[in-house]
Amino acid sequence: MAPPQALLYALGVIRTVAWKETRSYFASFMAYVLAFTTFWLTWQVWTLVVFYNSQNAVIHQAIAIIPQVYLFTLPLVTMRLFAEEKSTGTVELLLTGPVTEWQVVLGKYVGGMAIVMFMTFSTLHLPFLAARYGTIDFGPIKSVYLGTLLVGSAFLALGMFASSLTDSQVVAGFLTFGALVTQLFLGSWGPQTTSTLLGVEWAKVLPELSVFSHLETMSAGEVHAKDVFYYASFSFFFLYGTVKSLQSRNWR
Amino acid sequence: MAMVEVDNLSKVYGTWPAVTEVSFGVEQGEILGFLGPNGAGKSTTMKMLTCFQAPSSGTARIGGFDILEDSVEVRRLIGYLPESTPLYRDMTVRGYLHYCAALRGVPRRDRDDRVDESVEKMHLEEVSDTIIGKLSKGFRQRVGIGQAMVHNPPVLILDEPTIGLDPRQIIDTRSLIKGLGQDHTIILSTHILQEVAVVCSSLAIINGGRIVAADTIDNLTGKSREGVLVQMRLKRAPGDVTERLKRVSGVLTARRDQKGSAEDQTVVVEHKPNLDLREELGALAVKEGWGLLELRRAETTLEDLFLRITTQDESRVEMDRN
Repeated sequence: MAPPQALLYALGVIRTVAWKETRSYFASFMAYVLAFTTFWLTWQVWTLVVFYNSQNAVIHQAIAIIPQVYLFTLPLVTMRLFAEEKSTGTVELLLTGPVTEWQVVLGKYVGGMAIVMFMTFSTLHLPFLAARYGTIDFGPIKSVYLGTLLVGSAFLALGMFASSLTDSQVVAGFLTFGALVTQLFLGSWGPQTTSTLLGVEWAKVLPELSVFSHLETMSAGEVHAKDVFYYASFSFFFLYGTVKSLQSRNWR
Repeated sequence: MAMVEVDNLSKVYGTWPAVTEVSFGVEQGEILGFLGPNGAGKSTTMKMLTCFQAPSSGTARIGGFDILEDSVEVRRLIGYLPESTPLYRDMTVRGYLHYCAALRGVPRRDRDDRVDESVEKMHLEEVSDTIIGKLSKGFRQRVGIGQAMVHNPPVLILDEPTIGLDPRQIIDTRSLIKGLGQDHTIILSTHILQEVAVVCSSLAIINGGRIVAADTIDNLTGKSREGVLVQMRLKRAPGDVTERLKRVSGVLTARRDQKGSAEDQTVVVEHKPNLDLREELGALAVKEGWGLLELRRAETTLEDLFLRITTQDESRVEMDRN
């Protein structure tokens, strides 16, 4: 196949897989449940923010809770992506088609991102509602949503990798949850504990690894290239890992 | 050049040799029966041919494309039905076939026609909009075969396609496969001899990971005429009747047939050619008081061939071990 044709074919596969995964999430109501959970928790946090700090209630404090909600919602999104296919055997039909592992992984990634966006944007009512009652600076809101989606992408890639390691959705879910909690640890109370044990340098390094700490500047309204690059490479790393994990069936 | 050429394919899982130096070929338009007992290595070989798993050594070519070097090209040429017929339970039949057509490169404008054709050939009209999870086993199997042919591949690889179906469905599926054989090259695995006899034109028998016979069916059943079969029906066959018969000089094997009641046991004796032991066997049965009801020459069936080849193979393995 000529290169441009091959690229079109690859995009076609990605689009087909993505569309199938997205429809599957909506058919099983998972999409709605997760979106509602995100919407609900964010609204509750917002209410608390307003209650305690109504003079300076800042919208992005509520939106910034979404990545922490991801800790629970994203494992539920990602755990079935490959684990279910492996346990039912459908992975055999998928990978014996004229497709590459990259095409399949990217297709599932796009499908997963569609759900992540659906979940995240279910909270959009908050900024607009708040705008009716006060002045809103939309700059930080746009950047915090961007940051949230980048975190979502990173977690999605990580969760997909975990799902490709096992044929048990439960194990995949727990692995992902554990990894995400570790990420939280790295960003917040990790540095304090490790720096007392291992030295002050660690307090500087560990947050650089954490998904959450890169979010902080974005919450304030600044989008730094280094943070975007961090999220992009984090996602790529785990997508690559997923591809390798699938290819490893040939190494045995 | 054969459509499918398998060249010393081997697969070792850890230290367990699942498949050892398997070689055979399938010509275009042939239906090859891949026959063997459970655990012989049929599914493993098929997983290698469909590029799902890489072989430990050896290679194979489908349509001239190597399974390792040109894996994507190979997969473009094949339609595959795995043993467990895995399907997405949350999609409708039509939706699923559309998805498979898209994944396998059927151009958008042709997809509807190809899906309609699959639905029609597999008689899925009445369930075409039903969720797959709600279908019975027979229908799911048909959807499985449908997805294997929705992109009209030249080669079909079907792993136990009639397993779990009821007798009516088995007959229908077999005649369907036979019909497909006119336009496709098919490799069909099974452990049911009758299936091979009815559907296939050639046969490869695998046992313990090795090919023990590979040829057209006519050649194979003709070949086994190294022995002549005599069938005896006995009213009072003793427990050790087969041992006693084997002691007769010129006899190669004797076995009991599973069919028959306590008062009407069938024993099949195979003896060397160029001999006629009917008189001797009859006299022996009468002398021992076995109650001889019937004695006649029988044709070699695939069953005899299969049993003899697999038993021979096992005794050869025993000898190698000792």
